[in-house]
Amino acid sequence: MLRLASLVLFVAIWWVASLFAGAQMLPGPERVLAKIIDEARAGELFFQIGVTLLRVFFAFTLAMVVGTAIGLLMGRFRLVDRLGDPWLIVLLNLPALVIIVLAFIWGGLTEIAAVLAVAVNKLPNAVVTVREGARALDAGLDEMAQVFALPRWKALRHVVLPQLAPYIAAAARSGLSLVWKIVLIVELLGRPNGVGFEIGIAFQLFDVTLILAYALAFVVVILAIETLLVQPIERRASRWRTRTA
Amino acid sequence: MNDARPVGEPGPLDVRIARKAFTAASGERLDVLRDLAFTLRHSEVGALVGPSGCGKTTTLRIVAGLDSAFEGTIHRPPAGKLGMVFQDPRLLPWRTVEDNVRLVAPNIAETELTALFAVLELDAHRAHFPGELSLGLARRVALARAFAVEPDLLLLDEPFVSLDAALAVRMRQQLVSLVDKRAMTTLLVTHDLEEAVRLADRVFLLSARPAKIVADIPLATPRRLRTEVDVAAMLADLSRRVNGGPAA
Repeated sequence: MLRLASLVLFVAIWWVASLFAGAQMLPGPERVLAKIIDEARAGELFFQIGVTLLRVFFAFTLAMVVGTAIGLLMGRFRLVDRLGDPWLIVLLNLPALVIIVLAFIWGGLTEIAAVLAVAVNKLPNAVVTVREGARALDAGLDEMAQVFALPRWKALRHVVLPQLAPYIAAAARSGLSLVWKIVLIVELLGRPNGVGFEIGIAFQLFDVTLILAYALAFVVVILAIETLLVQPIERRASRWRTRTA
Repeated sequence: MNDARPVGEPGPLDVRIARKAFTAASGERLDVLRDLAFTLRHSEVGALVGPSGCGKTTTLRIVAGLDSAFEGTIHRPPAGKLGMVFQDPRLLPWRTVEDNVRLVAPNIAETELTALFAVLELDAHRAHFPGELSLGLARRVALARAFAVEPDLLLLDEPFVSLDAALAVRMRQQLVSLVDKRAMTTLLVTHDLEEAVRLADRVFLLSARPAKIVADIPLATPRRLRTEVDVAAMLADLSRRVNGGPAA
């Protein structure tokens, strides 16, 4: 209820601001909504968002899987940690734009280069978070797995990964928001479709309504994924925790 | 010479630890075990008894193969499946009681599992998560897990410490009935003489640090036939030896 009120307030502020700024600089909510409906009718909206979502999906999955593996290795083995740490610091601090531009130069303006560029941008974030989790693994449970001669994959799946779950969830959370942001830049720079490409066109035409229409539609999709996918998964993964409240 | 792997010949649990040292934070080497040796026959129950901090748990960890940084040899029973109860229950909090047991014993028959839970009075808790259990219950789940793998060698590290006396007595009885059901070599670590007398066939008294065996005492009457009088007599005898402090 409070969230709804806060949303209504936001739309109201937007509407008032648009009266002052003028339709050219900041079109009102009703115009943006009309634009969204137009774009949706033409099929354009769904196509562009769909393309962007696919890129997000592949880049996110790739970064999470590889990042978790590297983070786990770095957290468990000092040698790997010391070898990998300088790389990690470089990747963490390298501007996203550098990685994207280099990916397009070396890989051509291809889909693979685009997805890789996004994944590499997100990777260090996942590595750092999961490494923290791997450092905090319970040695007692490891010994239990060893004494009872659990096979390696079984120990990984049932003893190690559940301990890492909160860290992986945190990495996924922050990573997802990072991926949303970077995907659009990648599309703007080197893809012929997607939300980022569309917004690039709108920028050249100075079409603020179109920019807001895509931004808003995109936000709705993200919120839907967050509530319908991310949160239920988190709830299920933590159902064994005793409720405190 | 860190030979902690089981050796192929059939036989007893044979432990010969020449030396086990820790390096303290100050950098100084500290001998924990020195010339500690004992042998436990097949299906015998042995109890390592000694003062707190003398290295009992260290010994058990070496026997379990968890610590290979020592001088000496360990011969475990051949094809030895290991079952162990740690001092803390070490259950997986994200798995139910039943799933914790099934994880280490995936092939256990439903009837066996039911029987095991019945003996340990865990039937009502099969679907509970460890976070919902008291310490006493969690300890019993750890016991169930160790027995579920049908071990050839069972290692128990003070399994009943910090439980109230009445519960400890009940759990001891449950443990005895499980140990008697199936022949397995069992090594128990405890600082409680009475626990040792009630559970063991053979008691090994450990000295203070660096620990070695100062007495190897077979308890004559078989466990099942021991009367309260026998237990009291054995206990008195053991206490005398411990307090008399036989020269090492």
